[in-house]
Amino acid sequence: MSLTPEPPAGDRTDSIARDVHAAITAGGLNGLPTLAAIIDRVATLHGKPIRLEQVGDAEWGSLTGLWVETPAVSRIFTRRTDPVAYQVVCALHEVMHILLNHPSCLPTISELGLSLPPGARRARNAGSAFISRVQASYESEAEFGARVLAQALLHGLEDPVERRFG
Amino acid sequence: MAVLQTVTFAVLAIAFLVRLPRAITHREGRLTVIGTGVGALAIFTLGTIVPQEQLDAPLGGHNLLKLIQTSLALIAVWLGAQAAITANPTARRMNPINVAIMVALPAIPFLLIQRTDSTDKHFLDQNIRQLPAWLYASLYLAALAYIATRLFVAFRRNRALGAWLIKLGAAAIVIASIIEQTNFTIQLFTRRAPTAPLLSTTFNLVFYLGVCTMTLGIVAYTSTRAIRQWQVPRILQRLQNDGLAGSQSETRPHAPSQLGELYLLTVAIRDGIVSGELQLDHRQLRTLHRAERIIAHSLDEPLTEGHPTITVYTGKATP
Repeated sequence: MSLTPEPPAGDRTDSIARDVHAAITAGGLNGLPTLAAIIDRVATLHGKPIRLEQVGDAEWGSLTGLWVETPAVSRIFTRRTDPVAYQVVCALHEVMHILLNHPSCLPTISELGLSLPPGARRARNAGSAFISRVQASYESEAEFGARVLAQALLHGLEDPVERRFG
Repeated sequence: MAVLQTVTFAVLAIAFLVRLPRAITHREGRLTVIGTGVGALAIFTLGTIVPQEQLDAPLGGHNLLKLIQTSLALIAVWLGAQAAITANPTARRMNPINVAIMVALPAIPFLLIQRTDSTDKHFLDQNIRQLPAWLYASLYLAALAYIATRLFVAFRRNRALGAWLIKLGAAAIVIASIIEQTNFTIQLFTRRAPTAPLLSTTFNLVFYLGVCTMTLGIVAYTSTRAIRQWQVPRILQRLQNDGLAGSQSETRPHAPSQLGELYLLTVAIRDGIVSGELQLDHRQLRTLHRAERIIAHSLDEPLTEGHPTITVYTGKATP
């Protein structure tokens, strides 16, 4: 849930990196060029549509992403007021939770004191509060994966038009 | 008008020379580099740099230079349109055979124009009351307007400064073609001579300003890209020097590029701001915003900032 969980030991970082890379490779996410393509692929693996919703809620505080599971659809929320580059990482964080099939951290979410939709399963918290060591491990995996995927989405400093006209 | 033609030539020639080294190393940029070169060559044949007589003499002195000039203009605009179309996956492709026909077709009526043996700068204006001359001009102007329209359409959803300038230039070329066609048609049917000076002057103004504007669009793209490439290492250095890098998690992947490194850093900083653990001054915030805009540009994601949207991914796009 936190970006900066308790600093893990080096071997734990290696293990997170290994597990996450293995999951990304097994899921066929390597080389997918857009966030849309990644979410679409994970929806296939998950066997359920994924709905990406850009919402705005000042009461969210330090919560920057949310995964809500319903019988018919998985919902991922990001804050529409956040910069696009940041929202992409927040969305990918929740996508990684789905890909890695992480368990719900509802008791932890409830400690945030927010009224969240029924089915709220995991949340990305920009702060470091409300996090146990076990939850930190899940969050570290999701965040690590989100950043690996986000970096792979960078097309370089030129867009296709600039490559031709620039 | 000679000044405007000279300025247009200079703008095209400079854009060509400045971008030439890039065309050697980057294949995708070649179409527009060649396009500006061909465009410069087309303007060169107008006779403002070297007298037309000298250029037309090796071709026989029968004003064949005019046909070469219009063909070069069509090829130059087509190269620009082709570059824009290949950059836009939703744009309809232009069949090269159709383009070749568009370039070659005006030559048939051109060769049927009854002409004198001397090079004449106003060759077309002097002969426009001949049906083949009018037909030649009409085919050329129609092709020019069509290709410029395709260029405009390929850029229609692009809101970059360079795209706006290129669209403005393409629109000017279409308008200029319509004006010139109107001018020639009036002359053909009313048998008025000499040419309607107002329409002719308007065509020249709109056309050459359009070409200049389009070239400035290319210059804008080149400058924007160069500025961005110059900024990334400096922004990264500035944010790191400000001690903001310390807020990054230890569980973070290796960044394969400076841009990737900047991305990781901005996410960490943004996390710090959202959680209230980090406070940035105005200068640092401006730097952060600039970094986030550069990254968003590189991501090319349909996500927006400030607008509530809902997108459903069903997995059907994935085989």
